[in-house]
Amino acid sequence: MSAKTAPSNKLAANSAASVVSATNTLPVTTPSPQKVPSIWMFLAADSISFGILFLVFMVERLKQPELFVSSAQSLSTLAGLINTLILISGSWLVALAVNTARQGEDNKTRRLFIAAIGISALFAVTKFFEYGGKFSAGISPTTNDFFSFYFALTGFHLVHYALGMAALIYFASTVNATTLQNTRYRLWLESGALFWHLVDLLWIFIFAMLYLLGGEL
Amino acid sequence: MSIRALQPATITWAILMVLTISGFVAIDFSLRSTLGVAVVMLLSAVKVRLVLYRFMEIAETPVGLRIFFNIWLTLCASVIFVLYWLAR
Repeated sequence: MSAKTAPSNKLAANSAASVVSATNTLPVTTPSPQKVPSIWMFLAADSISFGILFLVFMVERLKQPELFVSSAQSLSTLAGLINTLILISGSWLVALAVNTARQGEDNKTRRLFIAAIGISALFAVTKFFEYGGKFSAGISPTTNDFFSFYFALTGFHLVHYALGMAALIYFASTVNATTLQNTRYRLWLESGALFWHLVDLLWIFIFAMLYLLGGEL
Repeated sequence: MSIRALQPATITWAILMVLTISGFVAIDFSLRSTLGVAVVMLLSAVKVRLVLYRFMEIAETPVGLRIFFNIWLTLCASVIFVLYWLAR
């Protein structure tokens, strides 16, 4: 994404200044580069939470490798791959939407958000069949330690995905020429986009750890 | 939107797609050897960094935040790999 067109993080970094000045028109010019935007603090805290989950999963895997390997063999690596490609594509469309929002192109922004929603919805479809397959095979979070982690990790991520999708739907339904002129709306839009990218980013590690490493000692 | 404006995000998307499929193929062909897993975790770290820098524009944020996320992704990738290797 071009850094020349009012980058989101500069906008976010200036959020406090923009609230204080109570201006609802562009551009925001008050520099405050040392201030960490609140959305980034949230994303950092969320990343730490997932990092701890990754660590605990791998430590448990170290204690009972045979169980984790045999259990992981029931996961579909292809489903994990498809979900990764879906989330990367959704993230790309959201990045494009942020770019067009900065340029004030409301129609293109709306269309890109709708496209991102359409593609990203396939993640839920794949997950539905994946979870359905597990439950129909009698596998649940109480089956063993591996599946407790599997459902906890993917379920926690699924909650993030649902929140991100809700944000995308909200922006697709509210973005217009007027709202794009509102600094706070743009700040929310770019913060929502950052959250959506985090959903993608976390899945990259979950895919590698659960699906790609899972099959064999 | 001009084609020029589209290019950086679109190129990043194409690279991410190629790296993702490469990781899948690497783990499949290496039969989950230590080297194959090391490649997968390295590719994952590269992909996460691409998302951070090209989609999330973390370069525009304060340096402390950039250091934090770089340490976080390095720790995640390396801890997963080391604990996998120790379990073999």
